[in-house]
Amino acid sequence: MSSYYLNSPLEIKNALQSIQNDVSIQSLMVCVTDKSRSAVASLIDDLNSLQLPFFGGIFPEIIFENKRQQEGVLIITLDYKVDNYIVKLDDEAEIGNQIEHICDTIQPNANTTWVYVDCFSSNKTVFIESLYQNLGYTFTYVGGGAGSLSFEQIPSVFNNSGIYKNAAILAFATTNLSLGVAHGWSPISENLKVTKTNGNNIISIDWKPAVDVYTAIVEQHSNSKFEEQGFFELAKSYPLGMVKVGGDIIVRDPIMIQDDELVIVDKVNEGEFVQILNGDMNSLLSGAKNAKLLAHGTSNNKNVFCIDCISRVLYMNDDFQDEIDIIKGNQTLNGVLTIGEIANNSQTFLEIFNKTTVVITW
Amino acid sequence: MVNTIDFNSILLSLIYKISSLKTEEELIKKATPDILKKFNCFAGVVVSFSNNEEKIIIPKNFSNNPKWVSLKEQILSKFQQKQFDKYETVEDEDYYYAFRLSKYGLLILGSSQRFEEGLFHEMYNLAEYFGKNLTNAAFGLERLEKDKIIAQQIQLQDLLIQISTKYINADLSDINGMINQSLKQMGEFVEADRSYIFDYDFVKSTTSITHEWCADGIEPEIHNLQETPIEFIPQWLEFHKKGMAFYVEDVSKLPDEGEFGLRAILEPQGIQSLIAIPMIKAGELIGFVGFDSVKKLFNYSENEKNILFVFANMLVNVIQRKENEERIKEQEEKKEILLQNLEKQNKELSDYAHAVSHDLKAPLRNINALINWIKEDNVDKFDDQTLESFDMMFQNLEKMDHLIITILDYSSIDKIDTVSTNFNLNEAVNDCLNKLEIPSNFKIIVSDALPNVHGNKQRMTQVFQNLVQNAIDYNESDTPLIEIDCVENEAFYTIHVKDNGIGIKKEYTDKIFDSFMKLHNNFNSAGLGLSIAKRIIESKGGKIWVESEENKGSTFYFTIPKN
Repeated sequence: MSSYYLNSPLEIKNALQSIQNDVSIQSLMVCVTDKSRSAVASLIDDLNSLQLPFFGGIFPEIIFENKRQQEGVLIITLDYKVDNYIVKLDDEAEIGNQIEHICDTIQPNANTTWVYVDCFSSNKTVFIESLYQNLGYTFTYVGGGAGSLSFEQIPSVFNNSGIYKNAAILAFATTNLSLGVAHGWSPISENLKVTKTNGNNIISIDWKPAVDVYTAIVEQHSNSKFEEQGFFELAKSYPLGMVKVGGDIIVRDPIMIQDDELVIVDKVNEGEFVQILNGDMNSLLSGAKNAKLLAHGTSNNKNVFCIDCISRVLYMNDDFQDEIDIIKGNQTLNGVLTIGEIANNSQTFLEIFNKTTVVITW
Repeated sequence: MVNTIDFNSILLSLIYKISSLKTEEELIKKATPDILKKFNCFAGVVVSFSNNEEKIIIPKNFSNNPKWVSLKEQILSKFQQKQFDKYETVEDEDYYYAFRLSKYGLLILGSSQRFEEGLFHEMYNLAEYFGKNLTNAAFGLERLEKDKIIAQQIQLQDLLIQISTKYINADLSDINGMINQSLKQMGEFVEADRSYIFDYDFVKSTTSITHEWCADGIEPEIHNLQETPIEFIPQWLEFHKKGMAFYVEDVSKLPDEGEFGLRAILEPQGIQSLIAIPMIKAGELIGFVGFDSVKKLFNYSENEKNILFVFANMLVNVIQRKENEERIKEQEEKKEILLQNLEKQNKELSDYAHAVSHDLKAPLRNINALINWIKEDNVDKFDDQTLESFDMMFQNLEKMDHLIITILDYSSIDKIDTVSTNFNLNEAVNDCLNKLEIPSNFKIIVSDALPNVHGNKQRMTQVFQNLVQNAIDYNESDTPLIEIDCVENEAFYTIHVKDNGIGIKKEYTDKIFDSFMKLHNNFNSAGLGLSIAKRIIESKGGKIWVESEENKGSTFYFTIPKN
């Protein structure tokens, strides 16, 4: 694997030349920063000239050689071939059929899929469930939510055929990836019942306005006021958590208040019980360390890539470099900062995470 | 590891999810993935007991797993032996758990981690709940059938309400038409071909059809079944006397009891099923309402029977209501005739009184004149005693004249009271005071703000005259006082005449308005003054009454309606 950071036409030209000369490269993963998304159309044209399969998305930020980048493009070369497919998410009823059709055409020995999905698609959960239902437990899934931190839904995933809005991309491969997933958030509240929802918005918790319940607990714990701090500034330290048997907590990220409803990046079902979580630098870095350990295990994998949540960056700010340093160890880290993370090594049903670190090695 | 509170929350969230899903497909497709997520399972299968088929396999390719076939067989055989409600097995280091989904089937979960013992037990409860919901949703047809029955019952009840409302509100002049119509409605509803009402005549020991409805193509029996001897239908009577329905579900299954047996009676009429509900009025069996099924058998449910009893009661009520109404009507007619007779008699009496009093006046005046002449012609010849007797004759003649005038007046109230004008009551009071001889020691205070009224001024003057005269006659005070005033309210004026006289005992306050009622032996009183006042006031729609306290005085009130 090799990686390229491109932030000028010259760099693009040089990178393409270099890739073209490397016969071991069989496909490309392309991560474009939101700030550089205007370059995607011409980039797709340029990449198509290589006659290699490529897939990718637009993300808030990227990590190139251990550094966060808010601009530019990251290209990861893969020495295995990928078959990539666009799944359109406009019609909920058709999502399963599309994936079923894709499953009929993929290589029989494919065991891994990279998954990037429009993070603001209302059918994201249906897509994830349908993906697991059709591909099953013999696959390794890794990826995350593509899109802009402006919270505006944009065309965010692409492949050789173009760029797509409200869609997901699946890139199937035959390769072995080792995954580590952790977050480092811990509960600070009791279980709270989500009593009414509207799509990804929570209207009421424990039969009371969700915003009132959430702000009361957070303000008391943080000794700060939302009015003074601003919603996101305080909420970024207090995500919601859904507990699973075994003690795992699936994190859900509240991003804003809209019409007195708590807007969450990913869906929390009505009737679900949630806890309010909190963490600090130590716990989050501990989570990152844990993810790294899980991904590396006893293997001697040379390549490390991370899919990390942009909201962890927003929480840690410049200290996020500490997380990068932990994950990279003595290797060079590339990665993408997403809005929602996907990682599954087939031991459980596939789910989308928030505020979570995913470390991938191979 | 998960604590109890968290675990309960997980179960509750799954129960919420399951309860929010309605159809079998929704339950399977939407609840199963959630169970897998919450329990960290990599696979989940729902198998139906009805055909041992997998209703869902998550993920789909789990069915391609060679171990699944043997695993399924192994698990199904355990549950079919009814030995297990839950089952655990290990295959290639993966754990598989099977739970009975109530009557529906099985839930099989695959997990790479072993479930804690407690979790394994709790999952059983969740699976039971999931299974019951699935069973209810899957056997939706049965539920639909039940819903249909309930809907029919509601429809039948609605029909009864409709009939009952009609019975309550309708004019009963066409009661027979209404009963026939309701027999048709009920007959059609229970899919009968004939419905009818029989009455029992226990004096003649017969029973007769009074009303009948027949479906198209069914011959009426109303003319054939009049005054049928009760002994022909002993079974009916036996049940009905006990207040029970007589019900034959299938006539062809009745025992053959010969020519006069029940089957022999029913079969010639083509009846396959019948039900006859007794009609009981005030504890007395008066008849029955029946429904015959000719074209097909009809099985009445208990609920339908109960509703038919309600219908029979309604029929009894409407018949009773009709009888009551007829009785009331008869009484009303009698009362009307009585009133007319009374009115006629009153008029005749009044005319007679008028005629008599009028005719008496002339001879009385003649007697007065003659006696006066005799006295004048012989005044020198008569001694003092004779002259005194003459004076007494004159006094009695005067009294008799006054009496006749008063009676004439009383009997004429309805006759001459035709002139109505607008006038001020002060004018009537002044006229009254001018006509009366008021002792000099009496003080009379009259409000100068008495209202304007419409009516016969002469009559109103007469009312005041009688009341003020009373106040004068029955006053022994050293400073006798009479006050006349008025209070106005929205609908009428209330006038009062108050005195500080001797008052009236409480027990007489009502009686004093009766004709010829005199509480004191007043030589000049005819005992008609207050009754005349009452008659005048009441003829104008007003009321008159007195409030009095002995030795303190009386206040007479009367009202005059404003309109």
